[in-house]
Amino acid sequence: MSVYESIGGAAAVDAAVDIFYRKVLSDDRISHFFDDVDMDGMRAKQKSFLTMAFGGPNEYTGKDMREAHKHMNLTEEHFTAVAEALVGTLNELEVPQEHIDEIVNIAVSVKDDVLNV
Amino acid sequence: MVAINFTSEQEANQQVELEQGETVLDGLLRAGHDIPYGCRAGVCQSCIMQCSSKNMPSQAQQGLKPAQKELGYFLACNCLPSEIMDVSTAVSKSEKVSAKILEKTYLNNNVLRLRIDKVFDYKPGQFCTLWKNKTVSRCYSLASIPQKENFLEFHIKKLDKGQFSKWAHNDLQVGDSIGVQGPLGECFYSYTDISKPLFLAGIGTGLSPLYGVLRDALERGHNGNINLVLGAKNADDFYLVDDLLALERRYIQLNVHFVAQTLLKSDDNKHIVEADIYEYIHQVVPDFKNQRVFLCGADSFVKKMKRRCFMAGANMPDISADAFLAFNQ
Ligand SMILES: Cc1cc2nc3c(=O)[nH]c(=O)nc-3n(C[C@H](O)[C@H](O)[C@H](O)COP(=O)(O)OP(=O)(O)OC[C@H]3O[C@@H](n4cnc5c(N)ncnc54)[C@H](O)[C@@H]3O)c2cc1C
Ligand code: HEM
Ligand code: FES
Repeated sequence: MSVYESIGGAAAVDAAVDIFYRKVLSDDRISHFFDDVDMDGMRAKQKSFLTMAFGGPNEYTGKDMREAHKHMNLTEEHFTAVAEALVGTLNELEVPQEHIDEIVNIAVSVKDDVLNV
Repeated sequence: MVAINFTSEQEANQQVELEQGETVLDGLLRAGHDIPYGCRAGVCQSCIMQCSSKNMPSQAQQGLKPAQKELGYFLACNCLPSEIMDVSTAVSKSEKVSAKILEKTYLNNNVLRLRIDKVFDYKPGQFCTLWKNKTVSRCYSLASIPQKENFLEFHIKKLDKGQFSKWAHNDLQVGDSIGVQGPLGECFYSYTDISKPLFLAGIGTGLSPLYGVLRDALERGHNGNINLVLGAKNADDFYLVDDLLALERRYIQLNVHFVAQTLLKSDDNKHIVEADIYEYIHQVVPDFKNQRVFLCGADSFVKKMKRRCFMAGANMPDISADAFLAFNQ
């Protein structure tokens, strides 16, 4: 069973998205990237992000990830902030540590593409 | 460069080349085709068209019903094609019906209450597109409640140069007919909300959908606490004040707050406070956890409040908003 399935699939994404979004918007290091005035549109993208980070079904390639983040000039600090928000969310939802570790691994595996290095 | 093949009742297959970043609506208008439109922001659905090919950007179908999507309907103002598309003026123009004006009443110096024939069923708080003529249309929210009232009610604020609102105020007569399309939108009350605390906030004619939502909730026996916060520049911009105060006296779970930016010494202001509306709301409801939220009125207010409510603990699915987007020229 994948992590995505073990933590509850789409329902886990639904439970996580508002918590994660709120964390991101309150973090001065990264909130400006997510300041999109269309909060509903941004929330849909957060769901895509979480689904992918949880190892769920998605059709993004490494090239897509490069494209999606290309114009943001992201740095190590930004990546860390997003990772912290992600881990904080999972802790709040009392996801077992072994699953959190696996999710962090997935995030790290796309880091180079996201940072466009 | 992307092209579209366009067919209408009058014109058979014509090709229109779109410029970089141009929507289907803009391209067709530029080429001289007579396409109806309203908000140009994917809200009013005036510009609905049909596409017979499969390659449509999903953005162009946002807000449409599953059945409409399946039939290939899309909103031309929200469609930036990446491949050639075959499009036609939608058959669904039949959805536009004609309704008689039953009553015109002034609720204050610049808000008109328009009541028209109840030509379809709806949920209070949804909105309709009203047509002045074949090409000019605007969205207005429903303030009436279908279980008790046999008409559709709108509150229309007069704008000095307003193409629609000025016409509605000055020229439209009781007994005339008007084109109506709808209802649309997800800003309405449902049974699952029955015991949640409700928070309703609006400025100006943002009261219109809230008046519908509020009375719908009360009629259905809502038993959670309700806060209705209304904002305006001055005391005389408020309307339906006596009706709202009467509701407040009748229903103990309801609290109505009138918040003016500036009060004059001469104002009879027993029930009106002078405050910054965002600060005031923060005082009344510091924590939005579990609140069911409705936000209506000017776009800037709705966007700002949505974010503030969310950050103060409301869940996004519990926030319904109707932003009165101005028509883009
Ligand atoms: C979903 C939805 C629901 C709506 N519900 C209502 C409602 O219940 N009651 C209601 O009165 N309106 C409502 N509106 C707004 C309404 O659709 C029109 O935009 C508004 O009445 C102006 O139309 P008009 O033709 O009179 O003015 P226009 O000819 O479109 O505009 C005249 C001038 O006024 C400016 N302008 C436009 N809107 C505003 C504004 N709000 N404040 C200041 N300047 C403005 C324009 O930029 C332009 O310069 C709603 C809009 C939407 C999208
Ligand atoms: C952990 C690694 C990350 C993954 C797996 C990831 C994944 C995604 C995905 C799937 C999307 C949606 C793309 C789309 O459909 O348009 C997206 C968009 C976005 N990401 Fe990331 N992301 C990561 C890290 C980051 C970081 C570190 C930032 C900035 C601090 C960031 C900021 C954004 C923004 C702002 C968007 C919206 C782009 C737009 O709509 O223009 N992401 N991300
Ligand atoms: S939805 Fe296209 S013009 Fe309003």
